[in-house]
Amino acid sequence: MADLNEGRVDLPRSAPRLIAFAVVAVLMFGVLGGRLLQLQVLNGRVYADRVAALMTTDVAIRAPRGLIFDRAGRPLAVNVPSWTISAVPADLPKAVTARSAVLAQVAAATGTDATGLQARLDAYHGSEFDHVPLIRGVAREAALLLAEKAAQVPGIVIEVDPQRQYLDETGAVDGALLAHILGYTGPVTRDQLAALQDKGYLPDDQIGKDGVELSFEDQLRGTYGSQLEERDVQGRPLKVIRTITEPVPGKNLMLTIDARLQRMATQALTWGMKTAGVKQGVTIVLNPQTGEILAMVSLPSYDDNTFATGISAAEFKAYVSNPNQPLRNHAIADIYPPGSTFKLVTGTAALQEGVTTPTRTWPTYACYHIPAAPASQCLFDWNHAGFGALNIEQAYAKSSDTFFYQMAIHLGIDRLAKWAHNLGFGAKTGIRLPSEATGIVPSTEWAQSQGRPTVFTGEIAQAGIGQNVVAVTPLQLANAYAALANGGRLLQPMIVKGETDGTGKLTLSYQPQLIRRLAADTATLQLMRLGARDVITTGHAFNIRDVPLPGTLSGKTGTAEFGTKLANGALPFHSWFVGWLPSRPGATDATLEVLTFSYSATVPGNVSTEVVKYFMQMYFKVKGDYRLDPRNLQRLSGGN
Amino acid sequence: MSAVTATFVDSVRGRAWRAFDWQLLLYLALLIALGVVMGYSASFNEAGQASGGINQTVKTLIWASIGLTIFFVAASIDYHWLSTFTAPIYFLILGLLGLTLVVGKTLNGAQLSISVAGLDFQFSEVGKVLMIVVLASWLSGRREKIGKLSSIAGAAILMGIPTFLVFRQPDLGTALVFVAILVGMLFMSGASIGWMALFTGGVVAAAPLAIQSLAGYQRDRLFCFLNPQVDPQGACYQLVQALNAVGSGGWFGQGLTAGRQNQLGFLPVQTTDFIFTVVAEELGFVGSVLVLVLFALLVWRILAIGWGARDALGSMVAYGIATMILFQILVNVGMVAGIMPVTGIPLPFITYGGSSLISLLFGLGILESVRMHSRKQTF
Repeated sequence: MADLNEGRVDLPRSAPRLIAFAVVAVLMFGVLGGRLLQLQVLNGRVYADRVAALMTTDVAIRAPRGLIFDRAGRPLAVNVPSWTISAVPADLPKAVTARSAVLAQVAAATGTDATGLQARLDAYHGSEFDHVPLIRGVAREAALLLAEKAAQVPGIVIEVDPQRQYLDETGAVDGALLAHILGYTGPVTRDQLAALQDKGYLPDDQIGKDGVELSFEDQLRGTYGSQLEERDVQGRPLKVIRTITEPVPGKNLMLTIDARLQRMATQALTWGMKTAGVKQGVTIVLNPQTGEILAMVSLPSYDDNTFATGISAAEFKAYVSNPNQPLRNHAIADIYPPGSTFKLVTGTAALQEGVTTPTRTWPTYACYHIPAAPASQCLFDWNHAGFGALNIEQAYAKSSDTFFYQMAIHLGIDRLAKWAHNLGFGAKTGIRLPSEATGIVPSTEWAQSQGRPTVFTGEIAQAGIGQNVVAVTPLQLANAYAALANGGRLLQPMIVKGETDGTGKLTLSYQPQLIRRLAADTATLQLMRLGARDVITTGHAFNIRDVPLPGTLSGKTGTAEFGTKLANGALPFHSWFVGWLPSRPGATDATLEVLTFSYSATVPGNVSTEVVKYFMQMYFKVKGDYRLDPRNLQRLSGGN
Repeated sequence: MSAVTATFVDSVRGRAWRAFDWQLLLYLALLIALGVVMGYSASFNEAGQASGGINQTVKTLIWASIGLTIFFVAASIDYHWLSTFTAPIYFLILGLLGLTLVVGKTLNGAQLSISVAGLDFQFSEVGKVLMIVVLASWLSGRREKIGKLSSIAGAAILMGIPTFLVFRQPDLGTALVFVAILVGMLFMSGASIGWMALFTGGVVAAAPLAIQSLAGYQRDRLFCFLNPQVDPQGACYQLVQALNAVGSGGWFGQGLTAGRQNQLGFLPVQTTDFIFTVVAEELGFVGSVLVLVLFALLVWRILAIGWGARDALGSMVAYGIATMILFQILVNVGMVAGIMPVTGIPLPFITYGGSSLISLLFGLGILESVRMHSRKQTF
């Protein structure tokens, strides 16, 4: 030991302890090295894969949205390249003033409002590295101008992406012609996104918001593909590694609509509304044999292109505050009393339930006294005079109210309701468009749901002529008459005819769907069809009788006065006319049916009949003009 | 190897420098260089630009030159001045650690450093080296009493006070280093193995109490290594990402500045406590083992100096420093390899930080002085 200690006097050196210390050190290095061998060499693959998975994400490849054509193959909804100015929040200046300066530059270059841009930026809640669209549909010049100033606007990116554009029958950009049918696309909302994220919707995605764009969203959207992208920890995309699935483009659709007829119907309805001071108008043109809607006009309309490009708050407010609700498709989303057109239901029910027979006549009255009602109370016929004794066909042609009061009262509300339901009232028609209303068919059950024991007798009488508590959508009415016209098949109205290739050629036809065969006997329906022919020849719609048309026009008018009194003290007029063209009286071969509803006219008289007449004149290229001015019922100048 | 006997008296300058351990300098210089390179790589992409990395690299180079200056100054002064100033040094340590507790800058919830003129000083780092000196001085004075319980108790009390101060910052890692130094030096001083075993048993028994007093985040991190999947997005996030990085390094790594976990920002605090993950990811198994070999060579030189020291003071300083470096490697590398709990212990020379580097170089400078004043300049 002395030798080992080499003369040290303080503490003895201990070789065993040094060796022990060294052994521990060697063991330690051995354990660390072994562990590294295990992690890096033996299991290296596992960790490398895990890292690869961590740093890569599936990124969607957008599929082009399907196009929409009319039945003649005219493009109505197309995708056009559009410049979108977006912000990448992470790359924007952090300082508030510098950030505002960037947005102000963008606003100046595009002629927009900087506070609106800020609001859109603030409303975004995605990743800092996502592109937040600030303005869509930027003019090419403005986009290029901004691109030149890229250095002064950090965090602003200009991208070309497809934007929806809506065209009319001539191919011109015109959103108003078919706005209610096509609808529009818009940015997906946060609530929608929460529900749709599993279906591959992205935070900055577009989605159908109304019309066919909404109801056929799944077909039009297609299936997004995906690709593997490498990203850093903050989600900043670095590079594309590979494509996982190719996107499947959306299906192209062909509407049942003929844009040319849509234009004619719009022109006719616009004229009628203007000359009669009508506030809301609907014209539906359909093929009773198939249920295909050839035209469906709801006025006032709106421009769906303004929605596709991002509508301004002022424009939107103007639409929403308009009392005539241009954003609503009055043809399907709103319900109105059908008036005398509802006598189809009452007549059918009365014949089927044995209340009357085809030949039995009933007295009609200037004012009908409801049994068990006080003697002073009665319900007038529309002419305040009565028509003498009438059978049902005559009463339908002359539209005698007092005749149908009696039918309704003898039927009772529930048997009337049964036949209303059979003809499709009180239920959605199932047309593939959003926001369809159900309508109201009064019944005992309905009354109880309103908190009263039953429907009053006076209400039953009025229900018999389509007044008071009955409410239908114009489409329900058109569809019920289509079933009458085609011999008893209640069809689901079609708005989309099928799928097409990229040029608008039909590749797949959707088939008409039968809702039900009407329960009424053939004889009953034949009698009602003959009555409808009489309406034109000897009845109420005499003003349309003289127009030379290919076929025997049959139809039914309806008028109602209700609502807020006009300046002259009279109630506004609401008028219906539905007409179809069989080859001969009572035939079930009509392929054209036109319905017009004019809500709230300032002049009496059936302006709807004039609108249908005007449409048919144009449609059949009738020589001469048979229109009457609804204000004075004189032939328009230029006619003969 | 001729045995040149050098006494205290005839240790003239020239002869002393001939005894200078160039190997030690070579290894530590290589480790510092590696630290500079890895620090550069780790901060390469910070804020998306290399300038941040350059900045930190320049700082590290400045720290390294200051440290090397201190190293040579310490080497050229006879280390016996240390025993003369043991008491003042000890109270200086307590003062600095106490000051840190009072006015310390909060970093990740702990007061670890004091900021003077923009530079952060972590006094616990220099405290480690100074406590080695204090303990070496005290133990070498025990002479024949070294085997008694009082040696262990005295050393434990001496070490206990600064350890407690560090633990209160709270800096569990450094506190553990203090304890490790105490154990290592007691063992090498010739203290009674029996009493040490008893003492160690006491420390182990007290461990649950210490763990209880830890802040929640420290406690959570501590046990991640047992099963990182317990909370891979939360407390164990660092560890999970570190394991991914180490594992994906493979045989040869992904190359400097090319580590994906590192460069894409998945490694938190990658320039400091988790620097070895960058080494492992970018240089692979081969690079990592080379780094460990470099450390082993360094420790071998330190032990050699300790064995050859002329007196117990020099030996004990060497053993203390060897223990400190070994323990820090074990815990730091063990941590990123998932076999040690996550505690904030820097990897000597490589973890970015001036206080640690300067303290280490100061300690190794003392060892060169020990070497140059050793009785036998052989080993």
